[in-house]
Amino acid sequence: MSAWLQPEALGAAVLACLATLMAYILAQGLQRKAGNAVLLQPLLISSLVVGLALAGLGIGYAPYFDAAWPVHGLLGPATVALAVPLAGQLGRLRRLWLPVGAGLLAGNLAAAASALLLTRCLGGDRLLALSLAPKSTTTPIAMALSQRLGGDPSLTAVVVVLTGILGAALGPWVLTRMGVFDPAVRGLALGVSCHGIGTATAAQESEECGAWSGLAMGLSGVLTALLLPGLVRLLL
Amino acid sequence: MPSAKTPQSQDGSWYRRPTGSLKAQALAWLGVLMAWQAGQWLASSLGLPLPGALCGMVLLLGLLALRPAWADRLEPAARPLLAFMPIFFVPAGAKLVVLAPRLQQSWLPILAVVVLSTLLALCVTAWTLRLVLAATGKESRP
Repeated sequence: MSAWLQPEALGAAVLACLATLMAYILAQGLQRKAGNAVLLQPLLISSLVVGLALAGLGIGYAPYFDAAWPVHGLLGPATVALAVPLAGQLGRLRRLWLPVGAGLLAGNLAAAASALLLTRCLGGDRLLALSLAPKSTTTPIAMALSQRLGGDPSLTAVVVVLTGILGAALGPWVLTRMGVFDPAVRGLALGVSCHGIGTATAAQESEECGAWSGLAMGLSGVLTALLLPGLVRLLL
Repeated sequence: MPSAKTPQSQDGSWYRRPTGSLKAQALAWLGVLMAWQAGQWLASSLGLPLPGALCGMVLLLGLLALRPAWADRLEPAARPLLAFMPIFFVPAGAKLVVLAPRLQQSWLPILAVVVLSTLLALCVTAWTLRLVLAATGKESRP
């Protein structure tokens, strides 16, 4: 603890936090200028900016990550805070718990199992499979799961964002082609397959669709966390 | 009930409501941090398969299911945490540049998983829901 109070370490922490914050604000401004384009996810752009800046300035990744502890240290409390909006959605479950539970269970099984199998079939190693398996859950949960199972949480974070971007871009179109127009089914499917970015897209369709999607996103994190260790033992 | 609005809604109004007094804010933060620590402790002492933070989320969710009024009291801490959450991933995401050779080397499985597995999960969820909704004779709206 006292190491963080050294003036040098404190200065590095302040600098790393400011740089991270500035990169994110820049990326957010860029997305807004581009008419909220799904492709320009601020997380992806700001990660690129920070990563490229580190490479350009000749600063190693590990010292930056260590110095930026106040930023990634808040991930744990933020994950816990997901429970607050989720609690408001629980009432929706009461009447429809059976169909919703069945849909979420099947969707999460399909997401995790197909990710594990596809990676292995296409020549990916165990580390890659473990890093890709939680890709449909929301980023904090996916990263924690990846770390716990022995994957690379940073690789997981990147793949989770790519999943969300792709799902949000193609998902609504695929659902319409399937003839799914029920906002509850659309929202739940988007929440299971592409987490927060899918939920933001669902919320643009209608508030009801977004609420179902948020519920699916939260419960999917828990379901995948419970299912994954077993699936890994079975399939890897 | 304001907390019924999804935090992801694009207008962001869920975040911009007044946060209340300093005391209310301090209590809210204390609550979230305590739930987090309780989750960490529970996960490590019982050897649960859930990561500590997720365990804290489940714990808090259970508590809020029993005491719905507490959700509004925790909002002063939950709202900023959720609003700024994407920033907390940036330090991890910055590894993208370091990982670039690895991404390049295994682009095929990554691309296949991102496209196929995501769309499969989408379709399976929608199909199952439709099937069970039809089988139980329920409508999504009362």
